[in-house]
Amino acid sequence: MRYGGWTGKILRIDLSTGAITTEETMKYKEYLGGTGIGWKVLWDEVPPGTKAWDPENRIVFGVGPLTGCGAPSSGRMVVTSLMPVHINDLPGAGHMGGAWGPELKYAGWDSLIIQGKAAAPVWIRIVDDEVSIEDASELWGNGTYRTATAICTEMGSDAHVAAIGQAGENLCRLSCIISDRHHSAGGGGLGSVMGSKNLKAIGVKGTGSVRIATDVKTWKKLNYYWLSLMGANNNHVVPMNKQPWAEYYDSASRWTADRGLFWGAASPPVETGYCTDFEHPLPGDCPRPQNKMGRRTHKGYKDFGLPGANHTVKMNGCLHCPVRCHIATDVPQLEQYGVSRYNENTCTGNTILSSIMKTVPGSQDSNLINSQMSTNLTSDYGFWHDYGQWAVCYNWAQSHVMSAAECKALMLPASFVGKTPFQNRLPAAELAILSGNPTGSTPYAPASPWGKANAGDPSAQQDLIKLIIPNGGKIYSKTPVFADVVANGPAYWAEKWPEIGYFNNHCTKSLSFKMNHAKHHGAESFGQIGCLINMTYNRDAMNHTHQNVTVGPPLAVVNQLMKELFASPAAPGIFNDPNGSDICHTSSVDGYKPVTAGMAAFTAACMVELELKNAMISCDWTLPAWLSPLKSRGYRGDINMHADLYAAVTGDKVDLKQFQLIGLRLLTLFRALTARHMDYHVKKENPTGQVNMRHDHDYMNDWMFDKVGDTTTGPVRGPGTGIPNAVSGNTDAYPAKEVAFQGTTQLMSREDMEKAKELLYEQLGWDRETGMPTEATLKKLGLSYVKGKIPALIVA
Amino acid sequence: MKEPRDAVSEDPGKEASSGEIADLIHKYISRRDFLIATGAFSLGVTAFCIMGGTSAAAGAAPRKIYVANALGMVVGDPTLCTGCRRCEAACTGYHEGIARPSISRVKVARNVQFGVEGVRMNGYQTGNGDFGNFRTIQDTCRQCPHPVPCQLACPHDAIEALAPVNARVVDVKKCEGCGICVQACPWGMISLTGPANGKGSKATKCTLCNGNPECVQACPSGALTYRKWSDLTKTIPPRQTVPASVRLTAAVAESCKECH
Ligand code: SF4
Ligand code: SF4
Ligand code: SF4
Ligand code: SF4
Ligand code: SF4
Repeated sequence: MRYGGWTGKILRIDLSTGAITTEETMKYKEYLGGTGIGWKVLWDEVPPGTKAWDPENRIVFGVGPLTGCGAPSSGRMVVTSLMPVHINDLPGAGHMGGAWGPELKYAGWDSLIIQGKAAAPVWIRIVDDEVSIEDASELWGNGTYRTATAICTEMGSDAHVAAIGQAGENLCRLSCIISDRHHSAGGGGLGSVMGSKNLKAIGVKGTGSVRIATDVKTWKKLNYYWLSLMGANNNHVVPMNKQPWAEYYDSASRWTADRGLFWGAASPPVETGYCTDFEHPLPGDCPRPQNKMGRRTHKGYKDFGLPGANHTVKMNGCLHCPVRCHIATDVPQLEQYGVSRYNENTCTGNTILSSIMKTVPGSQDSNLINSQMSTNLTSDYGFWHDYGQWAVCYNWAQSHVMSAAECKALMLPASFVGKTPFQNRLPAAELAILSGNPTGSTPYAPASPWGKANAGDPSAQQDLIKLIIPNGGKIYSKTPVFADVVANGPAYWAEKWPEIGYFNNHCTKSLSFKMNHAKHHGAESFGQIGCLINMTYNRDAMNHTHQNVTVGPPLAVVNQLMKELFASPAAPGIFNDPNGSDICHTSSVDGYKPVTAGMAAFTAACMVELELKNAMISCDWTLPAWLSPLKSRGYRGDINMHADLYAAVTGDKVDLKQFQLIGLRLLTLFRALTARHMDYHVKKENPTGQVNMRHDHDYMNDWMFDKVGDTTTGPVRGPGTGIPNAVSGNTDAYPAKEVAFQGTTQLMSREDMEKAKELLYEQLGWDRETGMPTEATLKKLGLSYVKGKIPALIVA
Repeated sequence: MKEPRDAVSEDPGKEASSGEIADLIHKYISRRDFLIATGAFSLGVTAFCIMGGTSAAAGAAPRKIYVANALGMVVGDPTLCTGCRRCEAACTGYHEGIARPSISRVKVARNVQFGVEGVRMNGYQTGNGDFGNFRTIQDTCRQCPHPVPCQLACPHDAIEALAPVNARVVDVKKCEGCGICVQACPWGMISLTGPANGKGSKATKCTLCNGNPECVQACPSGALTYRKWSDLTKTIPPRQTVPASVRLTAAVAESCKECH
């Protein structure tokens, strides 16, 4: 049969040979698209031990059957590759919004696989089926704004360009790919993978279509039905403030729209307003009030309060998405620094460099101005934020005064005591540039970058990024030692400076979950559930499935609804605890509760849902549709929504269970891929060794477990080092602002997390001792070929 | 940058008398540069040469070209537009059952990054669109009053005013896919489904969805409205200059002469 959704062809470009070839999408059908195709390509073509910057590495610009189909939240794409920020270059993906992915579909391609390395800088031009490799020597050295603009002058105003900036060119490991000015695929340093291939940009323009298999009437009905179930960003289904039409409200909600709350910099200002008469569908089930959904999520207000609202021109976002979670701002004050007053981003994307600044006390706008300067610079240079963990390390290295106990435990020279890591490690000449004095001690000289940063002067960011980015040997850096650690991410930083690893693993201010990468909605998001999800990935967990459910109607209601789905004899999907255990609780309300099988079933469903989102591709911040704003439905969403969308677009009729099995296939392949790469590195150290995913991969940093004075673990990872944890300065071992649990303890428990892993593996069909898929599971998922490459890792 | 919302005339769209039409045409002629090809009729930017006949034109049977004004129109408000292009998705999704922005009858894609002005190296940070000040301008069909540029330019008489709302609509049975109307619309509001003169290529333009526009219902920001028709052709600058090669056929010219 001829499916809708897919175009049928995948484009492959070998930059070493210049060969441009096509292949059939259908050979990857069981992997859908996006990361599904990405994992498969990495499995088939990239041997373990390959480094991210090797020409043999693939970088897969993935789109899926839903991409560009016109359904809500179908505008995003993913880039899959080996990740340079990871010490062992483990596989991972970065996720990009905007309209680049759909444009690739309209040009007729179900993904773009790039391999090899060009001899000199190039860019790729794709206009429908006309594909060429163009000289980029004129573009090299430019930021992403000028690069994209220059390419559009050749290709037209409606071409979409994904480009790297100076960060990617110069092989900074913290680098991302930027499209449509401010949408980024960060994903562990993917910008530098393009840079390593001498690939500056990819311009795409398409005049074709995405075909929808179902009939027009059904398609329209399904779209409006889906819209009626959608809330605001993160599928938050109740408003933030008490409103007359709403039964519930939740202060954490991103449904910020309210009377008297405006896009203040619009001309004239636009009121976001109420949603009165929300329940009554129009013909076609359109949410009410009709045509207000795009104003529900006032992220400018959510992230920056009233100053943010006042500077918001509008909410923007990805193609075909009605939610609009990107804040388009107008900050005229930026013009005095010579950068555009108009900028856009959301969440952490706005605060990469501003997080290493102090705000001006008493200035309401200072935070916003600095954040928009940060957005402007980092999108242009293509600098990746590492989900904030980078800035946390930086601030610690700049401010933490090393104690004698720490230096002893870390076997650092006694001379390090009483000074900060930056002071200890950076040459005097670099400290002089950064701080205005050769010891780097406070007070910093007012005109130095650090002096300006402490005064909240946005121009500090302009100074600093020039010191940070030139790191790849192509541009001379005035502060090479500083650049070398700061531009390459916490993992490489920790390799060179052990105190950074110590900080990440142990200290209360750490945001690192494991492997020196960031946590992303961890213990604070449903305790063990958030932790299990953060354990699974090789970068900060870009999985909001569970997180999206943490906000909404009261927890007891949500718990009941999730129990219907994942802990009941009548559960509709493949993940379930038929005994009906509780799933959702937050610590701050209930205190610590031991892990349940229901939590594990919910976690498994969240992980599988993410693989499906990244393969379809659907936005991680709008699905799952497990809740809805409709009181008439008791706030139930529709767990079949995603599978129904897939079936309607492609014509491939699947039910929920079959659909979840596809997701489990992708998750399991990703697992095997990670294990295969990790096993290579274990064997490199110890030829008779073997990776154990349960212990070597699925762990979490000690700071989430340890109490003050705990002597069972210490600065060097592993039990029994005998160094009191008190040396880390922990007082409660968990940041107070993100308290995991109230009551008897605020900590996670190691024993309970071990049990949690076992329950999760059971749901997934993975072996409880090794955390690897069993032979039977591989067979069930059509992945038996996996065993051929890693026979010793698969148990019967 | 503060800009007022687009001024929109609220004039009711009553039918014009032939005298008014002549006035209108002359007003157009005086307002806009247009092309008078010697010895032939040609389309101007939004106007038509009505003077002089040619041997080519003489003797052709006149084609009925006068059409009543449309009753409604879709109007965009750039201040409210979030650039999501759900309107485009609705336009092709709920008609053709495909997603295909290149033939959407409401056009946002081409303005979303660099505004109506289009891309240029200098000044992109201050222009319209996502690379500038975020102002997104939605291009919609003006449902032009007589003389309707696309309708008159069509050599196959394939564009007609269709009840119930008198939208200017392509009759796909008559359309040959020559693409002349694409060039003749001063606002570039017509698309071809394939290459010009290609097999099966058809022109496609806004039909107002018979008075129930899908794009308006789909817009999540209330940035499109369906309202009573008014003549915006004089207030909205044209997007393209109609090339001299676009000429009225003899049958159309004969018809013009009947009134003017
Ligand atoms: S919710 Fe935000 S990230 Fe998701 S598709 Fe919409 S605009 Fe993009
Ligand atoms: S397509 Fe162009 S010329 Fe035709 S009615 Fe619409 S705006 Fe006028
Ligand atoms: S493309 Fe069709 S509608 Fe347009 S001018 Fe040619 S025949 Fe007429
Ligand atoms: S009114 Fe109908 S045909 Fe016209 S642009 Fe809107 S959806 Fe398309
Ligand atoms: S649907 Fe509305 S907000 Fe979205 S692009 Fe169209 S007019 Fe703008």
